[in-house]
Amino acid sequence: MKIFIMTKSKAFLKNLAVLLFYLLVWQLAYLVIQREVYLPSPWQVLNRLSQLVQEASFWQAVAFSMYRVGWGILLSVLTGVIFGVIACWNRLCYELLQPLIIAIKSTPVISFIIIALIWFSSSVAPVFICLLMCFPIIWTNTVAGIKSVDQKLLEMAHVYRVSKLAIWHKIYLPAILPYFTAGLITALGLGWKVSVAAEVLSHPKSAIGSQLYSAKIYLDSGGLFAWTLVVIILSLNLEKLFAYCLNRLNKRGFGHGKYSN
Amino acid sequence: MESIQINSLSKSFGELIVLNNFNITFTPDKIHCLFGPSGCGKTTLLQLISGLLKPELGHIQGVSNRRIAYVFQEDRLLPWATVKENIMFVLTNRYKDKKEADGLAERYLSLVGLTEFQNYFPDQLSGGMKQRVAIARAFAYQGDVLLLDEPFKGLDYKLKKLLMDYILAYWSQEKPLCLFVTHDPEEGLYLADIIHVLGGPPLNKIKQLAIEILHAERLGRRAQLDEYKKCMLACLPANPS
Repeated sequence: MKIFIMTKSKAFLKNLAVLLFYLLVWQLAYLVIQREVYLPSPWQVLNRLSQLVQEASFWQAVAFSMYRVGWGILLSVLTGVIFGVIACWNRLCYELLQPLIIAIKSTPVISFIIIALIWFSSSVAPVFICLLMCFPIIWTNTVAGIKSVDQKLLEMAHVYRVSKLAIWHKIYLPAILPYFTAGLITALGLGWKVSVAAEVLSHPKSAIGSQLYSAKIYLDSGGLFAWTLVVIILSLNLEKLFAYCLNRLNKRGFGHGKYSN
Repeated sequence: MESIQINSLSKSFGELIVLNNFNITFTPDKIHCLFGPSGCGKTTLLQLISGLLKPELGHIQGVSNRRIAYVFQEDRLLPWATVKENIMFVLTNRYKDKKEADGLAERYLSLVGLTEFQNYFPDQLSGGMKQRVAIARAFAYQGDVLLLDEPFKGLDYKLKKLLMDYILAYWSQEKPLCLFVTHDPEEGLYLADIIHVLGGPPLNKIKQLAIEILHAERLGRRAQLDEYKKCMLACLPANPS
């Protein structure tokens, strides 16, 4: 494996160069096409974005969308972990849940969005979609984590009559945590995308998706690009924030100190 | 202390009959060596005694209320816990007072010469050191019965002797009933009071030898030990290789 050793400032310059390269490609594409509706220029998009951030409705939309994604992820973690544990505890439950999870995974998101629009209010539908899409990821990873637990360590703990609580804390939890973290980060990225997609169709009062929808109606490509940029930036930063928090949690709360990234 | 009595024990894995109507008695306060070729069913016997496996027929007397310390063939250490945390792991349920558990962990870490390494993680240690931690863990637990399943597998002679001396030191203090599995006659001759020569599968007892030489004097009485060794090896079925 090649390891590139780079100082922080060097890495920053490299990233900046990559960014500038793509901005240049974008600008060139714009100059070739010369139709703003098809492709607005980077400058127009930034301009539109700077207009948007000055409006209170922008921050409301961002806040409410994040609030919905947050709920969706939280509920998917709760259900995913609980059902994951149940599936590993009882073979029959696993046999019942496994096909359901596969079915959810292979159903097109749009089918769920449409049924969610019928079932729920416009504000709840995105939460439900986020929950439904992230639940299989959390569930699968929880199950994989529990299955990865070393049977030989469990035997050892059994012979030495270690308490159930200590077995959970010192054998199961550290084994599951890397799987769970990976699942959570994947879920976060996906949850964000699908809940914005659901918002586009359900258009709640304050939502990034609703703003995207209006941009479509008014053929406001600049707005569409600007809002998309907002989604990308938020998604990346949330993922980073989460990874950081989980790392802190691993180091402190569970005291194993052996898990990085 | 009572002895461990095994009466008409049977166990099989699929087609393979590992134990069939097997009987043996282990007297208390002694180091028993289970000597026999690989795959004859010695490990299965230890697993049955420890309760990790359930027998199909027969019963084992004298283990139900006793605490069992087990040194496995592998070290079986928690990879995410330090050396000391690994030892504390088996003590916390028994010693609610953390200080007491702490003292025990430290005492036995120092017995196996790993005090300096107590804050290391297993992957920072050599194979021999990990095995020493596993042995210290079994000691610190202070079981009434100490089971050792080929604990010196893959270790060089010097380290082997060192570990055997730790075991003797511990045993002479605590006098647990000690069952120790090996297929190396030298290990048996150095450690055991009674050597059970076993064959199988299905596991059967070929001979029982009582070694009546004090542990401390054994190295000096090579000739006598060689007699025992000949006797042990003669009992084993001819090796196909």
